[in-house]
Amino acid sequence: MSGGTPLAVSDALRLLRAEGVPARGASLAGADGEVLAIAADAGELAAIGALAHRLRALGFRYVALDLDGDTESSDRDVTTSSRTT
Amino acid sequence: MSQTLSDRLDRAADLLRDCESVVVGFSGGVDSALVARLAVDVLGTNRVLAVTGLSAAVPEVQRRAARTFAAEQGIPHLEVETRELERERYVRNEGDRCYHCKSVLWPALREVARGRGLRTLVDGANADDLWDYRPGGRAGTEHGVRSPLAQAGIDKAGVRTASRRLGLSTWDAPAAPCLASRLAYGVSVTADRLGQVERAEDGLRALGFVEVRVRHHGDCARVELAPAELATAGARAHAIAGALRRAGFARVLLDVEGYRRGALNESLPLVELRRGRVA
Repeated sequence: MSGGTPLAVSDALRLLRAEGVPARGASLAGADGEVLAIAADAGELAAIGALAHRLRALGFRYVALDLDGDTESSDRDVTTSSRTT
Repeated sequence: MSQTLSDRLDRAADLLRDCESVVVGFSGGVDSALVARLAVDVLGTNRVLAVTGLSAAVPEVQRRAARTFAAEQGIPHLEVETRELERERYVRNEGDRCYHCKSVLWPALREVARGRGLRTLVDGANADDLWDYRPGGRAGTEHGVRSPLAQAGIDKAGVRTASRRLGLSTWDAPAAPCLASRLAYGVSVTADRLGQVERAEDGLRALGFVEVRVRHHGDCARVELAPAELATAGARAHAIAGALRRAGFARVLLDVEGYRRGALNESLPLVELRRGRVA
């Protein structure tokens, strides 16, 4: 697997919320969409880390907290790729 | 020091003695620092030269570390500019980037050795490196480079133990691979991107983080911190993001699993990993 898909992002968001992590949104990042970027409070870092294996199993190489979402109080709920080269 | 490690160090010393005179490929990191010190102990300063290859992929903090260590230990030291950024296959940043880098470095060091009348090139590869994905090692083999630590069976833990016993300041230095290792495969290596990563990591170190990797994914930075430091990172998200933005990254991500050695190699096809090369 080289990267995730918008559908996998939706699945990831569903998993996070089902496990009690109040994620505001998630999106793909990286040139190949290999990173799942989760918008959530930084205080959720450990809780998301505990789910990292299950999230990666959805097709992402890396799972990360989107610090733009945290530091700018964004409430975006992005499920589309933001790929650039 | 255990008898086994002591024996292995003796073996490494014997291997260096057989070399007669050496140029050490010297990054200033824990492995090559130990080799340089052992070489001077065995061969003396007149038959050893530690050489550091410099390019935009070598951060200033590493350059300083190399200079400081050589000065502390009285090891003859030389810096040479290398030009791997002019090599298209290196810039392309596929899985064999290290091979193309070392294919530039070793001939440059061979020229130095020839000019100084030094016989053998040696590096700091250790026994653990034999099991990792290291295409740079292939270039070393092609250029006749010897690896006394690896040949003597000294692994990373042994390198640190021996360095500590010898009083080397590098004994607990974090691993410090070149800045190009922070660029995701397929993201081309440019001086601008390397500079971004260097500024970002300097910024994180200024915040007190010790073991940091800023991975450049083209459209974003993904920060990896050592697991022990990750625990405090959540409370410092603003500061982390600020440091990265000042370095020129528009989007900042914090990896929730933290630093994993060779994490970017996880994107390489397994079959090519097994073959030890990427086409």
